[in-house]
Amino acid sequence: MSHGLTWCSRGSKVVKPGSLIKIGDGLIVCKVEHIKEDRVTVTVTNTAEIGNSKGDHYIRCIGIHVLMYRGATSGVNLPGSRVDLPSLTSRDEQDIRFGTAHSSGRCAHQFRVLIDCLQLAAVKHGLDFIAASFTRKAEDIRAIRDVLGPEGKEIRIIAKIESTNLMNSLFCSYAAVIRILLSSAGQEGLDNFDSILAEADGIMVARGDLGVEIPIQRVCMVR
Amino acid sequence: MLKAGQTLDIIAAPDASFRGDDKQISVDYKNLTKA
Repeated sequence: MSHGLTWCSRGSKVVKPGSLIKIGDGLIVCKVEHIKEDRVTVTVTNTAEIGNSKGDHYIRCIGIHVLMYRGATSGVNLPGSRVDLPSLTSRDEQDIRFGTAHSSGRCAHQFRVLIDCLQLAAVKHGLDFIAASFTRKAEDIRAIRDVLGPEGKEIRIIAKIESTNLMNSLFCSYAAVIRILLSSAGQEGLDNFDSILAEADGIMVARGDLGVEIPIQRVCMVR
Repeated sequence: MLKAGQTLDIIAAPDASFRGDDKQISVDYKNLTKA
């Protein structure tokens, strides 16, 4: 029997043979070989250690040791695959409307989670900005505005760009400047970026996840 | 330990790794060592 990881069925539906699956902020890179129903068989492209030390799960690779704050799970980046997940979750909505300090522990580990905490306190504490993580389309920004309502109309929303699709669209938008990089750009993504740009109060190039989704040397071009 | 070149199965499980407040897919590797 081979080793196995588990994930939700959404993952199996969006990848194709040849797709890359990056685990743990890109520390482990796998290439999809074939898919049979809900079983995705991949080839691991780099050596890495996944372990458990004193109850803390970790990934160790090329000298980097990363603790997994959610226990025995870690986030997955799927470069080039369109993942249909909500950008505004029920938890976000709850945080925006009824923010309290109860979940401040979520701030301890990652910047993205810290952003969630800013959302959490947005209305109640009169913050100036919300950085909307994993913005994929203009509707995501409008959904946040709807939740903020009239009492939050002064709060500015910054769309974080951290997915491949939006990155491609960004290249399209500045085609005259960086035309050489257009080969993989998609029209659908272009439409998304322009509409997001029109809807949001600002754009943040989120280098963390984006740097996992695309080759790191391209991140500076996106900026 | 995962080694370069080895194959690995990623299996969909109804209760695995996705919660309503997630914005990203996650993998659960707690069964990884049960070869």
